[in-house]
Amino acid sequence: MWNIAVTPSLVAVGCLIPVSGWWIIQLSGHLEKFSPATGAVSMQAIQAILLLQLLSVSLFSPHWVTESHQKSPHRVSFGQTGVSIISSILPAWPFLAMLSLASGIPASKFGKAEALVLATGLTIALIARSFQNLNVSAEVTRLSQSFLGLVAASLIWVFRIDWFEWIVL
Amino acid sequence: MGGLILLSILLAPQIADRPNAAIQVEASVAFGGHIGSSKFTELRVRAVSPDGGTINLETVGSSPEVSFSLELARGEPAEISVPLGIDFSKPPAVLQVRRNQANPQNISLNYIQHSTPRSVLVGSLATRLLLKAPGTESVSGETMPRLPPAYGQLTALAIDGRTLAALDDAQLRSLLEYVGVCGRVMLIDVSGLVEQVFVNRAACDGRFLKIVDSTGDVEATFLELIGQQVPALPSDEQLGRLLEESFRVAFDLTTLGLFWVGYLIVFVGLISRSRTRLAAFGFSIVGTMLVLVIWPSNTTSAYVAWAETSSIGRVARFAGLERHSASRLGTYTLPGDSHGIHPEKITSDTYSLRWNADNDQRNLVWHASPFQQIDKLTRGSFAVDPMLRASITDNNASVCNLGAVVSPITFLHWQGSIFAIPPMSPGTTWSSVNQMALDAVAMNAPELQLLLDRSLAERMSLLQLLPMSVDEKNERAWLLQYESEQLGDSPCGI
Repeated sequence: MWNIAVTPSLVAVGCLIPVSGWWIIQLSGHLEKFSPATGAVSMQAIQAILLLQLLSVSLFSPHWVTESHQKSPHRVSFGQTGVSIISSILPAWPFLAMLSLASGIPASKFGKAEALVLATGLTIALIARSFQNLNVSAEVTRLSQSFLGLVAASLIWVFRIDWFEWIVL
Repeated sequence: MGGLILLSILLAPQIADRPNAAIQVEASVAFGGHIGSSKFTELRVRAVSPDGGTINLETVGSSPEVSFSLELARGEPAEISVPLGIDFSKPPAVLQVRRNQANPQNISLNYIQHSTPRSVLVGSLATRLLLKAPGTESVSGETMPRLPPAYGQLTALAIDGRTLAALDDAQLRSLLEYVGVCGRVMLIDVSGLVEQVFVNRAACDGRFLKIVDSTGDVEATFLELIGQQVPALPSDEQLGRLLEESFRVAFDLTTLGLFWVGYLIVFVGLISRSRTRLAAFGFSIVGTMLVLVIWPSNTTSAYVAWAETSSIGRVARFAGLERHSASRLGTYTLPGDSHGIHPEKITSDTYSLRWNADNDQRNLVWHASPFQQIDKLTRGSFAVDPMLRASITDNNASVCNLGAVVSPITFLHWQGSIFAIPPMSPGTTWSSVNQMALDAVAMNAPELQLLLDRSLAERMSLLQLLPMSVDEKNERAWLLQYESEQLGDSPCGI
């Protein structure tokens, strides 16, 4: 049976606190509904949350799949990895709902965004898992997986404008 | 004649002692059935019955399905034009005809799918002169549509004066509307009066309206016309950005802050204990639903239009977007026409149309899921008389009000900067001297972002907020006016 790990959720909460705090402070200065800044501020918060989610799953997915493989070496570990990824994105859902209402962007587009995050994490986990089949030392495997996470995170950062436009437009 | 099906239907009335009466139903698709894309075309239905009565019709297999009825007087034909959308991935659409409780009869609809939009040659003279032009189809004047969106599938249209004179009022209005949205049209051998009517209705400064004499090089002019690129209006996505602010929620920050802090505390508490971690998942989902229930948007529909013209133009063409949002699962009945114009495109697969001759009986029946939205996109034109003119003097920009009324809220785009111009009284002039351009935060407004995107670097442009008569909060219309390249003397007389 899969275990719900606490770390991914606490990491997500750690990212949510500064972003939501910034958003509420910015909103307090632009209370008029039709103020252009209200929408612009909310869009910035959306981009920040989605970016943080993608970066965290990129960096941590290789570690999660390794951890679950170590606990159950003879079983496919993607179910546990999937639970870990979901644990890292679920805490943000009420906040994303608020951002949807504040920006005017339909909530259904955030479903697309979260599906993208989940797919990204599972893809990176799949590739990281394949490294364990290589005939190299455990240290080299761990370094390769970490490098994979860094490369994925870098690509997400470089193409952040493109995937964000694909989600919201 | 392609697309025309003549069918005599024997439909037995419900009263057994009355003799059976035959109803003749003719169904034809616009432009001879030639369809260049999956956009809306037009279905014309003509019926006559010696007994009179009402027949109910429905397009089955079309996208969307359209239901309508015809009231038949004894022996007199009745006719109706309805939108027809064809999905070429589905089996061919049919017209189902039903009278009283009789079994429905199906009429096959003849249409021809083309992989690319076609140009149509209307009338024998146009056909003879342009027969060799590529990508053309010859059709009769009778097949010209009455609904403007049917023109959306064309590349260009050529018509001669004699055929033009035989069009009915609705067909002529639709053709003029096509000219008004910068459709490529060639008129051959038309009178001076007809020429003037079309010139007065042409947008894009008349660049896509060619009026020729049959003795000239008609084919070369037509090929040149087809080769001209019509500038596109804002896309659906760009118009959608203008609508977003109408659906925004204004939060009470104290309630929001308390809700959010409370959520975080409870979530961390639940996730920290191994026995309640699954409950934390459920709590997060419940929290999301609570947000959408506590703070739903009060706005369920909004409309935005973006029009463009030039300072010397007399016609502005526009793209409009009407959005409806469903707060719950259910069936919604919406107006079929958006502000009197039938939509060119409707972004949903879960709707049908009820379309009768009376405008008040045209509805869109939408089967919606919670939080689902449906968009209706329209194209059209209207007459304008630009009251504001802009000019440059000594490296400063000036805008003057040459009209007779106070000008609306206006933004001037000049050399990459945007200036906000307050309403101006008639005869007054605004100058950029000692004026500050808008800062980066103000420039984030979606209409200003669209102004930057659509402005031409070398020309000034003015963006005006047009007055809307109904519910200004949820209906907005913008008019973008490009200053003419040929300023000549300063229009403001400075």
